[in-house]
Amino acid sequence: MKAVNLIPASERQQSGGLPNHSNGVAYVLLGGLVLVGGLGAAYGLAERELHEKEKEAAQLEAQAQQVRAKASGLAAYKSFIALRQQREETILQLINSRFNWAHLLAELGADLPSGATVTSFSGTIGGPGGTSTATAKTAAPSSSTPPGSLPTVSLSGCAPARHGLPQVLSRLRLIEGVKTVELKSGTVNQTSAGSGSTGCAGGEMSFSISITFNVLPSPPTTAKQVLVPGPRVSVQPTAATAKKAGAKRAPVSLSKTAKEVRR
Amino acid sequence: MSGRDRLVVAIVVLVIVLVVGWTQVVSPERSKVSTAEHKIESARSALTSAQSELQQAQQAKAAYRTAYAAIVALGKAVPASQEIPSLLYEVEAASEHHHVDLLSVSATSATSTAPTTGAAASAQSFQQLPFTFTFEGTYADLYNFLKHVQEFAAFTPPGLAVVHGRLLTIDSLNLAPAGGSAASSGKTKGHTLSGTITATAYVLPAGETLTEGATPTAPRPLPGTSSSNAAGVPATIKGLP
Repeated sequence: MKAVNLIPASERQQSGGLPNHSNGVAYVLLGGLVLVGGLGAAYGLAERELHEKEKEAAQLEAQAQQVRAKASGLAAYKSFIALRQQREETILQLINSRFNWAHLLAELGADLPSGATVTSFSGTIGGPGGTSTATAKTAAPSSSTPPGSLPTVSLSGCAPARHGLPQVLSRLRLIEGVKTVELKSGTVNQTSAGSGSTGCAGGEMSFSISITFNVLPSPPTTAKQVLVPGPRVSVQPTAATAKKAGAKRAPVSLSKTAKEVRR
Repeated sequence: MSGRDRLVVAIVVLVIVLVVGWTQVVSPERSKVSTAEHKIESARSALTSAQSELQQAQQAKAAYRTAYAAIVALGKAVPASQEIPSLLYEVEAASEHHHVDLLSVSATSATSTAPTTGAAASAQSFQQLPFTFTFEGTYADLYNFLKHVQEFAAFTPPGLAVVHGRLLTIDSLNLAPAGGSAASSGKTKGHTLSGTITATAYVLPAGETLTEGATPTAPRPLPGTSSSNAAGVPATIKGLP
């Protein structure tokens, strides 16, 4: 008798293999479970990382806050240092924007030719003909002699009769910072006894000269520090300093009568 | 439904579950992590900035005593008030030192100038205190006197300014032969010159004090800050002169 397999062909178990009633759906589900598990793990890791990072950020923010508070407690010191710098800068600007009158006197004494005398000296900063004081003061209102001011000097005096006045004019041009030297008047003193209204000796030439200097420059910004020494050391200029400065040529002399002071 | 259909449905469902799971659950979380990372960067940056600020403040604190001494001494050049007696004293001392006779002094009222913009006027403008004084002396003595006056506050080429006294700007200088007054001082009249100097002294802006309330040990606390700073240094110490 022949054996008959009553199990439908589609339900029969293949030889050597596992029964596959789901056509692979079970595998898909199994794989899906694994992937969902991976998804969950990724979420968990991300959650954990997020937690850690938020904690770290909070710590850093707290730390920054703490440091800021500490710095804020010392802000007054910073403000004071800034005040010092501000004052130093302003004072340095004022110092540097000044015209050096003493230097001018020294140069005048050194450059005037022998035999020439000065009977009056009048120097101003920002006088007529120069940059207007109002304009200059707009640039740096702190200083009474701000950058752009124009120093001018008017000189009256006596020069030797022959070639004295040209020599005076050319020598005055040697003074540092001089822009123009303008002769206003030159008159030979005809009186033999000297004196007269000009104070010059007979035969001498009385002159009136206007010297214009270069405009005061903007103060340099190279100054770094203000030194404030204690008790003043004897660094004051002495008469010898002036003599040394003016010793190269005849010193300038202003006197009522030129004869009295002429050397 | 055949087996193949069930397989396809299962795969589709799985893909949908995965996509939804990633987009709705994991991805937002990753996004939050990324935001937190940015937050950390920002916090780090803030911390670095705060540390730098603190370092500067600590340096400022370390330099405070020097700065205080400098500010006080700068008050010699530009005081908080007119301080005319000390100005006269300095000018008189300089004139005596150089054998120059101080004949007259006349001061005009202080003028205040409005602050402007720019580096040259970064600070509030000082008040100007113009005055005129007349002297008698020889040319060399007047030269020395002028030099001395300008050296009350002077600039040296290496970049240093030295303050010995009141900062003065000489606006004009007139020299002429002296009149009869020199004879009374015993000088040789013929060599004596009369000098008229118009100068300007400076005063701190109105309302500004020399140290702005600071003491030798600590500055005045800024408005809105506690009276005691974080370093534990009291802002003001009572009993100090």
